[in-house]
Amino acid sequence: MTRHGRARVSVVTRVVAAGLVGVGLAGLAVGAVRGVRATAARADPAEVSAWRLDLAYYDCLSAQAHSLLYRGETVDVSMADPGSGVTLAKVVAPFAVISDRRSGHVVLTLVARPGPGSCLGSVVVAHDPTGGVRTGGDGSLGGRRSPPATPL
Amino acid sequence: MVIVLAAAGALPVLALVGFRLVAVPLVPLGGSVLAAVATAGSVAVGGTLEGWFVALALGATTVVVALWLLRPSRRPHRRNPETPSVLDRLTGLVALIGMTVAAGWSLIALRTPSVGFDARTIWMLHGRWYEQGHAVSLAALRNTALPFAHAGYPPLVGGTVALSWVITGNHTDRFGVVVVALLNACAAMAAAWMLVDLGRRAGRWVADARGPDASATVGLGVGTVPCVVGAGSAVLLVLVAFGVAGPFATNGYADMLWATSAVGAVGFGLVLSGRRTDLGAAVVLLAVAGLTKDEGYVTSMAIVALVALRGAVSSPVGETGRWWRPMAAGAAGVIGLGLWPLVTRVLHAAPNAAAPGPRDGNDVSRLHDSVVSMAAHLHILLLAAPVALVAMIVLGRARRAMGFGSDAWTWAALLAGLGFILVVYVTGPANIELWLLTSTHRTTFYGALLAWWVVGIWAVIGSAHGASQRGVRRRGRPTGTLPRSA
Repeated sequence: MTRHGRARVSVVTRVVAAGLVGVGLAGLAVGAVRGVRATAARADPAEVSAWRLDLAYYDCLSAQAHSLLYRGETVDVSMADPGSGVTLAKVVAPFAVISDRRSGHVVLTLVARPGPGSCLGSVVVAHDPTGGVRTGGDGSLGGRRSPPATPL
Repeated sequence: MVIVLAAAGALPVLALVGFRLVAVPLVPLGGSVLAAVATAGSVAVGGTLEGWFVALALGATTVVVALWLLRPSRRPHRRNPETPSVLDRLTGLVALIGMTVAAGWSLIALRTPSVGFDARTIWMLHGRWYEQGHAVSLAALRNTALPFAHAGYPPLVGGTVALSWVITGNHTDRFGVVVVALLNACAAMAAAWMLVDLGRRAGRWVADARGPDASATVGLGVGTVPCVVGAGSAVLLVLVAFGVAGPFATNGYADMLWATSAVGAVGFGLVLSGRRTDLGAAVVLLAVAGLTKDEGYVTSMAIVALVALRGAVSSPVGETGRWWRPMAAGAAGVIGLGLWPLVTRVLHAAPNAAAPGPRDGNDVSRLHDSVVSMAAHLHILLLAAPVALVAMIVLGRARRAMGFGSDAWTWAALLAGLGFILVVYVTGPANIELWLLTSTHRTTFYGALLAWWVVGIWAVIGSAHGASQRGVRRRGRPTGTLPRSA
């Protein structure tokens, strides 16, 4: 390659190198600013309040479930309403054994029953194998608000 | 809790990476790997999690001390191939402070006490099982009544959370979520640290290439440019990583942990020059990624294979290296990563449920839907791909001269990770629409983050090339090189 050609290539590589630095750092800065904004939005007081309610809701359901079951007990969680069933399973699974065999176990359901003693309008109900029905106690969370939608 | 993890992981990590600042975020991650292995022992063999953890921590520490006593050349202060300059130390310190501030700021999202859906149904639930010991954990692993609990997922997150509950006595889900977020921050910092090392080595290349008269002609600052760009990029990438992960960085999900760890492993294993201490950092990060989630161990296996292949290709036959050594090490790594899946099969773990509903659509329609859904979270590829293409054509030789691995390795690792996810969506069960809707944001973290890292890496290399050319008119191309490039 001639000296002229080499000089031209050198200029091109310098321009490309400078462009990579500029585009790269600008891109990273934009990405970082978006990250900072997203983080700040998640720390917003409204978000904090909503998720505190979510924690209180699950604590309430957990207290009700504990009032109906002993640790390590084998239970069945009704999935007739899958949404309620999964919510209840999240509360019960940490301390009881959920079974998919339906005979001889307590069956738990989450029932809409607004009023005192409910967790944002829901109560945990246990159907005993003997036919008895018990309602969870020990937990109460009043109000008409709903817990925040959980990102999946 | 982080102090306990760091104490357990300190010596094994230092034995692998030497006395380097990257050890600061890696040490707690090393402790979490020990927690994962302890969990696997407790579940598979018996005994308590804390008993296994103490035994493993003491055992690993004893082995490392014995190794250092018997082979002084393996001591950490002797493992760095060159003495760091004042500029190296200063850059490292500033970068560490900057990254710590960035990660700390990103963690203010923990003010919001969110415990995510998967955090409750998978990660905190696993912690509840593991803290109750062998019998409960094994029964839970085999319980088919909770398919959404993914009982067979790797044990790092659940084991570390359980250990944190046992040690601190704080048994709340909220505390478990904080522990996972701290691990996320450590992984993001460790992965971003690769840019700091890249910048420092590129700066050294610039200084070597310009020769001893460089300071006289262009001033002392010529080697600092890539150092500054590397450190700045690393700080920005920590913020970017938390932005990409969004709410899943601080609500107890495990996706950011495996993704950032895998990205860091690509950086240390496939981009930096292939020194033992770089590979040591890659080993720690691969262990974290591989023990965190199913996607993590499959992607880690692919990265291990690529690192081994790179080592074999760049081994000078008949000299210090032989091609079979990296291949044998790679085979050992793949086997190690495959142990947990093997254990879950031997123990008859319950199958996972990807998403509700029967399989719908055919392979072609599922492929189309999956590509469209994943692409919505991979816009960064529109920047990274052209940047990489132009850069490889124009600056590929300069990159090789600096001793860094070809960008093709990074893209191979990126495509392997995303390709695996795509194959699972296409061939897997479940209602594809719901499955994609509830997962592609998270399953694309790895691809998106690695693309961001590609942009940062080329910015550092571009700055080094520019600095090496500054003031040069007719002196010819710099020729300095570092060993073991591929």
